Amino acid sequence: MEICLKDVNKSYGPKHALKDISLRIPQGMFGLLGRNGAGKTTLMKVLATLLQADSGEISVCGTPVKNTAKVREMTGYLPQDFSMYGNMGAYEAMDYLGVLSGLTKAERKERIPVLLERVNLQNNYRTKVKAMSGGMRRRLGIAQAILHDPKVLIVDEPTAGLDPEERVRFRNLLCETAEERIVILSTHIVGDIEATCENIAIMDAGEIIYKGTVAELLSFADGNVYTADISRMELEKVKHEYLVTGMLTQGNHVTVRFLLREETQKLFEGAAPCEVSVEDAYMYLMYQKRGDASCF
Amino acid sequence: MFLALLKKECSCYLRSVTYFIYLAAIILFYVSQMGDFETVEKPVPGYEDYGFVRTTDKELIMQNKLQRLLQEYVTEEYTTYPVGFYKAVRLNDKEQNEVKEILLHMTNLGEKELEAYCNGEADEIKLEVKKGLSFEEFSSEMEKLCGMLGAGSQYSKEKLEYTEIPGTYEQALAEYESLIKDDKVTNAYARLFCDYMGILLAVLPVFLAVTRSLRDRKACAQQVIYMAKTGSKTLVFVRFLAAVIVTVVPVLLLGGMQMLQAVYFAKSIHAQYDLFACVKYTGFWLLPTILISLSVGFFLTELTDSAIAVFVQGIWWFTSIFLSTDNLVGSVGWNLIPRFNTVGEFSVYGQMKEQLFKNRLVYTGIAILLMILTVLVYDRKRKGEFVSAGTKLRNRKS
Repeated sequence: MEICLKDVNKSYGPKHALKDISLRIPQGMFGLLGRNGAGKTTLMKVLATLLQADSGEISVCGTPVKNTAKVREMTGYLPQDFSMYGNMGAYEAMDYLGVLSGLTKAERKERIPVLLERVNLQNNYRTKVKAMSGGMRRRLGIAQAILHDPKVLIVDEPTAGLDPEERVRFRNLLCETAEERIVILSTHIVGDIEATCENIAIMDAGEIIYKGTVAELLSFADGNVYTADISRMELEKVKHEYLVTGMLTQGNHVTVRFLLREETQKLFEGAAPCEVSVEDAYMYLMYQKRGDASCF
Repeated sequence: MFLALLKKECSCYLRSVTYFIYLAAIILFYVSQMGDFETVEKPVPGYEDYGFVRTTDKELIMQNKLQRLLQEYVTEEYTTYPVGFYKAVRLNDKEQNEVKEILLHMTNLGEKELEAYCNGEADEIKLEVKKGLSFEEFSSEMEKLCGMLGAGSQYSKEKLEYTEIPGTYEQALAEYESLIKDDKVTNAYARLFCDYMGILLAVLPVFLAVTRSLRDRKACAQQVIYMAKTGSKTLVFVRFLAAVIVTVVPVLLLGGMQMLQAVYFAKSIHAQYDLFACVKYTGFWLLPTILISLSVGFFLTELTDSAIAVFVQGIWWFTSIFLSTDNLVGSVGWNLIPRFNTVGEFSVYGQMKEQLFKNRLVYTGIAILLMILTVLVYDRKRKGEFVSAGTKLRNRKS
C-alpha cells in the first residue's frame, strides 16, 4: 500500500506549480512541509483527483490516478477550508456525505456515531455546522473524510487557525487514523510534522527539496545549531553573522538560538551547541538549498 | 442510494430561504390573480352585449384594420408596442402621404372626402373596403406600412390573422355549451391556471437552481462533494429532479384548489368534469417552462460559478411576457410563456394546440440538452479540467 509519483508536472499558465515531482509515500503518516505557495495544495489536489497533472505518472495503491472513480473510492480528503452546509447538524452532514459516498442506511447508522465519538463530537449531533468552532469543523472534516473507510487520507493544512489545545487533539486524532492507512499531512507548521510524522518531504517553489525521515533531516543540521546568552547590544551583530531561529529577551540579556551559515564558520565566546529541532533543520535546509536568508 | 439522495436533496431545497420566497410568491400570485373563482353564466336572450368573438373572416379583418388606420391617420399618431411597451409613432409628411395613398387605394374614400374629415369639416365618414381588393394585396400594403411604423404595430402579419367583432346570443350560447361539452369545465379553468402560473414559473425556478448550485462553493463543501463516489450524472440529475419535484408540488396543490372549485361549479350545473385536468395541463404546459427555467439556472451557474443565469432568464422572461401582451388569448408561437387568459374559447385553443405541443416539446428538448451539458461541465470541474470564468475572475481579484 503506497502512493507513487513519477516526474509529475503541473502549471497554471506561466506558473510552474509542480516541477518533476517524484515521490513514494508509504503507509502511515507522511508529512508534506513547505512555505505558503510552495505547491503543497496543488500536489494534494492532484493526488485527490481534483486536479489533473500536465505530465507524469501517479498511482494510488496500484491504481492510476486517471481512474478517478476508483481512486476516489479509496481516498478521503479534508481540504484546507472544509465546511458543510451551515444549516445542517453534524450527524446530518455526515449522513448526507455518507449517501454521496454510496453507503447504505445500515452502514451510515453504524459508522457515523462511532466516528463522531472518535472525533469527540458525540454530544454535538444536532449542532449546526455554522455554529461550530474551527476545531469542531476540522474534527467533523476528518470524520467525514474517513467515513467510507478509505485507504488513503489526504489532509491539507488542518491545524491552521486552531488553538494549541485543538491542535494537539487534532494531531493525535490523525496519528490514530494513520494506523491502518496512508495519511498525507500537508502543512507549513513545522510543529505538526515534528509531532506526527516519520517520513516527510519538503517542497519549495514547486519542487521537492527534501525527502526522507525526520531523523535524517535532523542529522542534516546536526552540529550547526547553537545557543548563547548575549547582551542586547550584540544582537544585531549576531543576526547579521548567523541565522537566528529564536530569541528570548530577559532584561538586557537575550538568549539566541542560531544556525551557522557554513560548517567552518567561527563561533563567538559563550556559544554552545544544542539539540537540533525539526524547525532548525528545516530552516537550515531552506538556507542551504535556496541560499535564502530572508526568512531569518 | 438514488432515493436516499433524492430525499436529502429535496430536504435541502425545502429548508432554503429561496424556497420559502418561491412559495410565498406563487401563493400570493395565485391568491391575487385567481383567488376569486369566477363562474361562467349561461347566456340569456335579449341582452345588448354578448361580448366579443374572434373571427378570421378576411373581409372583416380588412374592414377593421382600415377603419383603425383611418383613425390613426386622422390623429397623426400610430400606436405600437415595440418591446411590449406603448409607443406613439408620428410619421413625417411624406410617410403620412403614403398612408393617405393606402387609404385611398384600398377604400371607397375619395381624396376630398378624406381631407374634409381630417379638417373636421365632416363629422362622420363611412369607410368601406374597395370592391375586389384581395387579402394578399391588403397584406402587402400593410407590410409596407409596418416598415414605416416599426415593430409592434397593429398591422403586423400576426395581427392580420383575426379580428374581434361583437358576439350574438347564438355565439355566446355556443361558447357556453363548448365550455361544458368540449372542455368539461375543468379543462378551461386549468388553461387559465396554466396561463397565470406560467408567468411566474418562467422565472422563479431559476433562483432555486442558482442558489443550489452556488451553495456547495459558498459552504466550502465543493471539494468534499467533488471527491464523493457518486457520479456526476447521478448527482446533477438528482439535484435537478429534486428541484423539479419541489417546484411542481406546490403548483399542483394550488391547481388542485382551483380544480376543486371548478369541479364544484361543474357539478352545480350538472356538467361533466375532468378530475385530472390540472395534472394533465401542468404536466404538458407548465412542466416544460419549469424545466427550462431550472436547466438554464443549473447550466449557467455551473458554467460560470456566478448568478448570471438569473439575469439571462430574467431577460428571457421579460421579453416573453411583453411579446405576448398584444394577444393574451391563444398566443403561442415559440414563446416560452404561452398565453390563454380566459375561461373557454375552446375553438381558439384548438387552433393553437398543435403549435403548443410543438413549442412544449422543443423546450423540453432544450432543457434536457442543457442538463446534459451541465453534467459534462460538472464532471470536468470535478476533475479539475475546467475552471469557470467566475472562478478565474475571483482568483485574479484575490
